[in-house]
Amino acid sequence: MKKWEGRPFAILGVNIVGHQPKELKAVMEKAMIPWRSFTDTGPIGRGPIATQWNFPATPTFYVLDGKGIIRYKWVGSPAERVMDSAIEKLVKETEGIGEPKH
Amino acid sequence: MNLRPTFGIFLIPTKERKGFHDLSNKGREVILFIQQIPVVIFLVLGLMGPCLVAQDTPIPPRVKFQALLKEYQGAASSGKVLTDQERLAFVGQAYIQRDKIASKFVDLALKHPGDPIALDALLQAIWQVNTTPWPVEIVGRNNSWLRAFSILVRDHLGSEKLGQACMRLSPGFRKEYETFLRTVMEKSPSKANRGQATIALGNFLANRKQRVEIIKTDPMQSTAFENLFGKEYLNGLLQREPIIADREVEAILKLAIRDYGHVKCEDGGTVGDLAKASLFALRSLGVGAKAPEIEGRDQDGLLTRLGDYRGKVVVLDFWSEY
Repeated sequence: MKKWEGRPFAILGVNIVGHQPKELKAVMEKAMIPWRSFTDTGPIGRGPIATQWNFPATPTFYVLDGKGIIRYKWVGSPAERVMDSAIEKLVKETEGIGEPKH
Repeated sequence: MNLRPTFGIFLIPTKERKGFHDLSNKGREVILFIQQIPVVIFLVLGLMGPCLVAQDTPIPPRVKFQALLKEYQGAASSGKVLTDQERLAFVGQAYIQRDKIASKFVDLALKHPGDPIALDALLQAIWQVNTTPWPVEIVGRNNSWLRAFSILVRDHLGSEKLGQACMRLSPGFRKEYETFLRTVMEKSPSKANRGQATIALGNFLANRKQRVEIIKTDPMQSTAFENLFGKEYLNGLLQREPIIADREVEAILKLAIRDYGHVKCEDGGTVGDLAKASLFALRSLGVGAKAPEIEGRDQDGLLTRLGDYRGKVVVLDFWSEY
């Protein structure tokens, strides 16, 4: 996390348990998760986001580049160095592109 | 990067989206999990054992089945928070205990082949689907499910309950699951069974391919899978081109839509709906595809859009605290 502070990088969670925001906040505080996470209210694993993304299992990771293209997808946890180097590569790539022009 | 210490594999097959997480966490990640959140573990106790010993009067097969089922499902709280090692030991115990009972279910079915309970017993024997490479030295080996498959294929291919069992297997990894699903798909006289076996096979192959991609990144997981599921089988999978694996999944899903689109599944959905969702994931949620927009509330209730993060690399993490 800290490694990419101040660089074009973010983690966004999707909690698939179906909590309301308040419940999710309590869960995240307890687990000391500092980033933002979508709530996905509905039956466990079958909320609107999980359904749209045909969610198969936790953990599932998608790594998107600065243009919103899916560049990596893992169902299960990849080795730490694999995820780190994937992120580093994309962050560098995004920094090379610079801020998107409007 | 260690995103969060609360990861656990929580496979949700299409039909069985609840209650799967009890035995399906990945060992070394659960170790971290325990450090964060107290988990009260439930121990399976063999409370029903004495009931099965008394043989003075013949016990009807259904009663024996219910006793076994209670033993299988029966749980009592250990009443304490377990440490990492205790949790791992618990998982091993639970696996081994359930495998032993699975073996008794198969024996019951063999003893009463003409009784309707035989089928229920066989289906219960294949209930435990190992989706996670727990160390084999902890969870042990047991092949009662293999015996159950061979009797199911021999005597029950037409039973309407078989479709549901097929669906349950789709998050598994064993080679024999594929063999069983293909057999039902090709030989069952019941269209409902063939249809559910087809979508289950498509999802099984898709899940397996995802697992293989993970294994490629991590020697530790590779060894665990190899020990549990066999070296030759795993090597064969690792050598396959991902694109070939995807094509096979696509062909089966298309077949499911074409031939079994209207077949109803237990949760009320159809094989066609499920297959379309899986095809969408294959085509539109794969590497190289544009991520669909997500708009929703975050933990503070704030409206959040994935698209607002354009210009940044985003790790999108589907997670649960279990």
